[in-house]
Amino acid sequence: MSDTWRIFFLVVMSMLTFQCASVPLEEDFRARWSQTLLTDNESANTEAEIKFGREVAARMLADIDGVENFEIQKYVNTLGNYLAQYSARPDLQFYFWVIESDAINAYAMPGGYIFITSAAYRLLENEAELAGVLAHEIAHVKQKHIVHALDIKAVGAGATLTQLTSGASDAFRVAMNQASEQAVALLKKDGLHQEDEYEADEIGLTIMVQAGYEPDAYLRFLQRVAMVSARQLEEVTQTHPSFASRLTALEAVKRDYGMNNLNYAQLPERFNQFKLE
Amino acid sequence: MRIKLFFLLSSAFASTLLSADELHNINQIVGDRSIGMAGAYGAVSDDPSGMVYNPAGIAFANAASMSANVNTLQWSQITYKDALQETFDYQRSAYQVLPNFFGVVQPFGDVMVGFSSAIVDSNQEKQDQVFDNLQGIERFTVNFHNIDTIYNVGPTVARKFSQKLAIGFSLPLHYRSSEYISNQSVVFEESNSDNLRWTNVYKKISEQGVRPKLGVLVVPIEKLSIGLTVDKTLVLNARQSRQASQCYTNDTDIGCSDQQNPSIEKTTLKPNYPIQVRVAGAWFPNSALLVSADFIHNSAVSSTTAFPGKEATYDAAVGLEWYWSPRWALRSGAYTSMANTPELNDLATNQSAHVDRYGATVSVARFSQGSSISLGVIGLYGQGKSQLFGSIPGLLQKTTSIDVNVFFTTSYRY
Repeated sequence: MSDTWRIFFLVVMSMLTFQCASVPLEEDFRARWSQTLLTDNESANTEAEIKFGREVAARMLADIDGVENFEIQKYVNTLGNYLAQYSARPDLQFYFWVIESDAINAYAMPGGYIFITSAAYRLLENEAELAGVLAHEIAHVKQKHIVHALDIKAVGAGATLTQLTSGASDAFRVAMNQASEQAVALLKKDGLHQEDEYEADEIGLTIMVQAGYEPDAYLRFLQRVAMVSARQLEEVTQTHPSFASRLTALEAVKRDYGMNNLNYAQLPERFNQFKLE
Repeated sequence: MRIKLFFLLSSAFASTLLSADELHNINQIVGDRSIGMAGAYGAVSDDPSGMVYNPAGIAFANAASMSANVNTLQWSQITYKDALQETFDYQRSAYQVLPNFFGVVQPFGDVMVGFSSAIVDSNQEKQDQVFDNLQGIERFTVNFHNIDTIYNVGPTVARKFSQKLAIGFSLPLHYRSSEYISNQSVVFEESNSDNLRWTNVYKKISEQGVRPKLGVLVVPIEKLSIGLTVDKTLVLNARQSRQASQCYTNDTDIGCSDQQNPSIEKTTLKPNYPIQVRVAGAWFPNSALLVSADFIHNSAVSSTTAFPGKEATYDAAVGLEWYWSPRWALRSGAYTSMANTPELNDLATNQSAHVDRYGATVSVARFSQGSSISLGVIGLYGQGKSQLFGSIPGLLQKTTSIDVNVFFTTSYRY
């Protein structure tokens, strides 16, 4: 036997002997200090996003009540969290809430806070349509559209979202108030960038399909909304691109992603159990 | 003196020079962290460069990632003491810019898969030299062009069986491409009866094969990792062609007094490569410090009619990585690159150079979220003996080699 093979077998036997020893390993000792950059920044950013979203949600709810139907709220929450699994944001706990409002709209706040109005909910005909609306809002959260639209750095004179939410000084607390006010204005009046809405439609549609829902249901819902009275649509037309252009873009998404004729679930019967009177 | 000069001007002169680099088994050091740690990486290997040092290590990579040596600037110089007319030193230098590693790893179910491309050995010499101060010679011109590169390109798969054991296997393709052109011309002084001597040698080598590599990584006690890697290059196809021509003129003969017309000699004999066994240990006392050491044994290779044999070598590398903040780290190391040729003796002829080399590395790495860049330098110094004029026993040249590599590497995890 050559020296090479003697060395090889000697080392293998030694290693296997070591391996047999039962040593509990509790931590990843290989992790280097530089890796804390990744986890620290990510968790700090997520925490700030949640805090900011909570602030905006609280401001929204200041003059709006939630629908007092526990079963419906639970149903919407369950469905929303099921869809959120496909959002690639496992760092967030999503909350879904049906709020009392005559306006047909839905709102996505940073950090996973999502509202759908009672008027919009009443217009739904099946679970797939509800999934489409919620998925669209989840996409806004996923892409952090509000945070980007507010250009937080500009609001706080160079401040980051983390600094704003930390409330480290009076200046930051004032800036935080301003930012959350602007966020509410974006949601109810000014609207996001048009391209953000198209992007949310596209991502929302893919989330729907991944979750097993019929994508055409969302398009049918938008068509139905487009025919509702102008008074109920004042807010949504102010904050969103036209229904016609959205529907055209959605048809293109369906074609590009091969989503035509999928024949996925619509579940009208289950939805009807949670109809809002 | 005339006899020695004659051999100096023959094709034997260049062919015995130290080249890249059949005379050593440790050549290019590749990777991102690994290059800064002098290649002492067999027990770390938890990123794409692990595919070169220990394929089992990538099973411990905690995310999909990629790394690359964006560039290494390599300069080398070798000096043969008193080589010319036993009076003048003969010095050659080479310079190349070599991006010598790219690798990517990604989880795939229970296993980690990766793909790497590494240049494990390379030399590029493009040299023209003129000597006009030799005794009896008006002008001696050497034009030399040598490109010799070995690539290892292929996949790796590794599986972690527990937090204490991983096994990995690489199967890179081995591809060697070498092209060697040497032109030498001597114009003698008028007082000399010889007028002109001109020689030309062209050599081309191509090899294809595989380099299967098996790696094991175990964690016997917390914060200590032990690695073992075994590999061997298997050449499946080889082609070598060589042609030489020469013409010597003098005062009395018409045309060439001594002439060799170009004729192509070809062979498809396959060279044999050594088995390499790498045993490594790494100690991770805390997240800011890492100390590692590798011992690398290359087996002896018997000589054949077409290829010279190689002696067994025992090399070592030690490395250190120290973070002084989450954003900055210092890496350094030292390693050996021992000659796989026998010591030269005064009685033998046609002996290959024997130069043992010792290297040191230092680099600084800067980290941001998910990515890093490093800048560093490798210095390699060797001393030994050569026999440039192979047919003259006892005429040996003290040989000194110096290599300096500046490298820039980067990595990204996603």
